[in-house]
Amino acid sequence: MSETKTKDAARPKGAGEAKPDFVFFPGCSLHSTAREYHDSTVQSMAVLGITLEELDDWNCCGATALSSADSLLSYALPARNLAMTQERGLPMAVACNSCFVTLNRVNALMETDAPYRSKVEETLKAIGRRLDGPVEIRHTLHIIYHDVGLDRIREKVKRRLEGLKVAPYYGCQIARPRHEFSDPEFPTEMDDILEAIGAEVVRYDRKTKCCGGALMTTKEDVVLELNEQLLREAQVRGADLIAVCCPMCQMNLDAYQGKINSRFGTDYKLPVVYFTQLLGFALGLDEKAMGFGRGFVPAGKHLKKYA
Amino acid sequence: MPGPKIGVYVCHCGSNIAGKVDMDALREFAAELPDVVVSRDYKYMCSDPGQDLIKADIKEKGLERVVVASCSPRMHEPTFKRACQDAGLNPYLMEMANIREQCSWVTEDGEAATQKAKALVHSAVNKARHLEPLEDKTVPVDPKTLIVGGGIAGIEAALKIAEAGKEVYLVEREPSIGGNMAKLDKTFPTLDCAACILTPKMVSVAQHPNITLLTYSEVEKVEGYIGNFEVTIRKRARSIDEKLCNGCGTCQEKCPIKVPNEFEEGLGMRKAIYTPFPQAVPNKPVIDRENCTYYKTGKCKICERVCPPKAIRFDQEDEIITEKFGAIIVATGYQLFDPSVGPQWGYGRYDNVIHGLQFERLSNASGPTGGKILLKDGSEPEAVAILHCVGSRDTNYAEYCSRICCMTSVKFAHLVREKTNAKVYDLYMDMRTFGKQYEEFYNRVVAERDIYFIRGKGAEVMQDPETGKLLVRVEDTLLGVFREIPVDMVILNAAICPRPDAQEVAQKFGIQRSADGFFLEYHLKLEPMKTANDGVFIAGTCQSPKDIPDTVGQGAGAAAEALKVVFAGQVTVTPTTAEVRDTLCSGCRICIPLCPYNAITFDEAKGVAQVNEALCKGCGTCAASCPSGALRAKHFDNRQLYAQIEGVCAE
Amino acid sequence: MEQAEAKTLEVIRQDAFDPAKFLEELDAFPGVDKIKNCMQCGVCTASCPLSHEMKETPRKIIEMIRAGMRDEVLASDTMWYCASCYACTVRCPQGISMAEVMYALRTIALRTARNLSAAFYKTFSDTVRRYGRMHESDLMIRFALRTNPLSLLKMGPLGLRMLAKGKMSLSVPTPIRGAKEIGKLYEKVAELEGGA
Repeated sequence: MSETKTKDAARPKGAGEAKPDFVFFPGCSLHSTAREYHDSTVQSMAVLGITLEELDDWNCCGATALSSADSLLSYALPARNLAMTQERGLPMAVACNSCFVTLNRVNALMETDAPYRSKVEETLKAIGRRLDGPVEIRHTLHIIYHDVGLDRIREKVKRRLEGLKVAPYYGCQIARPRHEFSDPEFPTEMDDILEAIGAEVVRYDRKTKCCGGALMTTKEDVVLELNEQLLREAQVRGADLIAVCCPMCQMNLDAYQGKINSRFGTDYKLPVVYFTQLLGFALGLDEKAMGFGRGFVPAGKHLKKYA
Repeated sequence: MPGPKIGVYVCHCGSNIAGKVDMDALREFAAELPDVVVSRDYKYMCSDPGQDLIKADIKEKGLERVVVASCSPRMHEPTFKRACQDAGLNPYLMEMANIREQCSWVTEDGEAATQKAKALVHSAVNKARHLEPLEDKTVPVDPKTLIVGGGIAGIEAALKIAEAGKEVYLVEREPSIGGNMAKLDKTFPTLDCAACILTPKMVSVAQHPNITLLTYSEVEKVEGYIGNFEVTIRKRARSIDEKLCNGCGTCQEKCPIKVPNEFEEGLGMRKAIYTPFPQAVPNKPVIDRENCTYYKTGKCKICERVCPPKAIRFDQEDEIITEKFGAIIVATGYQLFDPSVGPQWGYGRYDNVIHGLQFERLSNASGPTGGKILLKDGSEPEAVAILHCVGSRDTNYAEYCSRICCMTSVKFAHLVREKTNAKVYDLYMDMRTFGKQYEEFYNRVVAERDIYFIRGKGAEVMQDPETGKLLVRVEDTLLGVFREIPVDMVILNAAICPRPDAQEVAQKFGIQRSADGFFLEYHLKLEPMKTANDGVFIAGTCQSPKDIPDTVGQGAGAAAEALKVVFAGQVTVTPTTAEVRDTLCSGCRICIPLCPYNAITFDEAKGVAQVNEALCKGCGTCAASCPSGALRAKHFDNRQLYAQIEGVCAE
Repeated sequence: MEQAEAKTLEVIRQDAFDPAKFLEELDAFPGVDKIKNCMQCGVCTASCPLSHEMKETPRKIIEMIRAGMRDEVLASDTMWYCASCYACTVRCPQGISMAEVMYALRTIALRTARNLSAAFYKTFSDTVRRYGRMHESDLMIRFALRTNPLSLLKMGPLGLRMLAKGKMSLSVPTPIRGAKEIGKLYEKVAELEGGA
């Protein structure tokens, strides 16, 4: 299963100034609520030989909020980012599931709906930009799994997270509607990465069930229920912590865990960390630099024995 | 005097019998019966090793009778007969006890089942003791096949047999072959026009040297049996000389009498002298004597005057044709359900409520409107409703699904949109688009503009007294709302029904009907073309509702069945017939009218009854009714039956 | 609990609706197609994490669209419960993107809707227009001011903890360099949509 061709072998770098591998689109959350996801992603990937260059002057992708408010705008906003990526001449790497789905939506439009596509192109023209067909958009999780490969990860591991029980939670928008992942409902890429760093992956059937996302703002009651179910399964399966790859999931499961406990009379103390934090830690990066302290539910006690 | 040596063979049939009946007890019980010299049980007696047990015992132990206790003789009697014959024992000295269908499958309690199995085996052993050797007879087969019904099923069967080099008579009641398919416009799912694909086949039928086409004709009487049917056909007088007529059509132009054309389903007219439709085969008219002025008043004869080749024959008489056939295929088709039976649908009450075949004629370029979909007043509809399951899937009318209506409805929706700007509402209970390329066709039509599918049974059609619009009322079962849909035209997709004379036809050909009224096949899945009457096969919608692909398939299948008979050249006739013991017969003749097969005649010279063994089916009616006991049903005679009864009652 | 009203079967006169027009309106949204091919299997409803909260299930919404019940569809709460998880979309046997249908319905409804969800999506759009990026604190404060200023107090504790964790900032956001482009983009979109 594992990808043996390493990044270095696939794309040998010159001795001098290295051209980055990807333009990195962080998205708004990775600059605010999910800064630890940003830092752990960039640093881990650097250790694994992937260089990311942040897209200059990127703008908000619009997320699903814009798709719900203004159709043309919901294509035009992310299209600006894609146009600038195309100008840079590199594929794009994205870490946030919501940005990933929104940017991919523009790609889908580029391939299908010709009349609407020209409308979007017209808006870009108004700001002096153009988008020429789809842009290669990759999720950082998939880059790590596919381009780096499990063998390379195993080689680079400094701290094997032996005995750490992790529930891999992908969220909904990473593998759906249809992206590069192995299955839209039961992807396995994160499972494999976590195993490669020595962790014990617990069975987690809700791995792509929805956390409610931004509906936490408008439909809090029912969204708390969804998150309670997600926490419950992780706990029942014996997970020490939940690994995620989306800022929205992390926020809902972590920041609202206290509220869930008081609402449902539960006593969850499940740390919710980005898989890249665990990856970086396993690769020997500094625990602090990985931002474990930024979570509401502390993860420290589970990591102590590996430090 | 010791009786014949009997061997008993008890079959487990896997767990079918052994799961219920105690095999050891049964075997041991049989071994104790008088004259039984060997009794064995085996997992599958019908298998080669099972049969070998029997064969070996016949040879080594000199068995004179064999009793097999297993399944129904319907399946494996031939198997065990053959085994006996192979070992040198006359096959009629073998008797079966059915301890599966009549015992293990239908008895709850194991002990009771074992008890019953013992009784059945005892009874079979008793009968076997009195069995007599009989010899099969073979009789030659007439190489011709009769096909009744000139729709697409009959046409397909006729062509296949003719192309195989055998002779066929195709008998059609109407003036032309083509059947219901000839009335259709376009056909699903490919939308090629029915005439375009059917006409070439009709012409081939007319031209093939191996096919004798008898239109405007009916089968009157069928006698005989497989390989040797004797059939009487009435060829009704067309009132023209078919050899002289060149089909010019002048007579039809000039004929002053107009009556509704059956072919147009009441939407168009024809003359008293007519061919039903332009592509008719043969393209020769008939005179409808019921409506012709000459036959009513003795005057007119305009057609005779205008006919260029002078082909009119007013004095022509029906012709009676008697012919022998080896096999018969019945392909008499269907009758559309009459929607006026349910007044709630408005058929017959409102002008623009029509049934499916009427819509086909409206949409057909050679139909009464030249292919335009028009209301009775000549205007174009703005909205059309199509109702599925009119008469079908309804225990008030026909319980079965008519199978073609979903697809014809989808096709109608498409045709309405193709030819008009009307909105189409299709009211269905389930969408059953099961055939090859059917779902794809549905998916294509469902996306067409202004075609709306509504799930619910069209309950009734009313008229808005103010606007005159038809109101179709339906519960949209997916929304849980009651929808009332104003439309200008309602198409009722009526059920496919057995023809009204199905019972008469069934009797004529010695075949049976299933509960739904269609002709009964020998086995629903494995023998769909065979009937209970050997040598008589069925094909097409007379057996069950079918679409064109299935009908064509069954037509070809029936042809294969008929060819199997005629190519064999001879058939085996069972010797289990009745015989008259002349010395006992008093010549009372009671038996003669009772025989359902007309197999008994009276020998005036001897003054006794006589059985024609070729016609006799061995039903035993005569033997049971003979006051002097002169008639004896071979293999089922009194001695054998009484012994059997004693056996059953012994336990 | 209030006494439930006696349920009566609604009678719909089909000529009161124009299904073709509503279908056309929706067809203008990219990704919204094949609605007519829906076979009403209900896999969307059964796959949705929130359909049990809706007054009309996603399946039923499709059927209402096909019946032309525009007002009823736009007044439903169905689309406001959609979390865009695409579970329905990947399972739909006819390839209908229900998520896109929900976006489209929200967009149409948003033109007139006055509910919490509508306010949120509008505030979000305003924030992006102003800064080119989304800023949680700014978004949440503006959203609260727009809907229920008192809710700010309720949000207080979580907000404070977010601040403490560095997940939120109270400093005035800085617009991106291309903020002018974003403004122009909004204008052009408004122009194209108004002119269409």
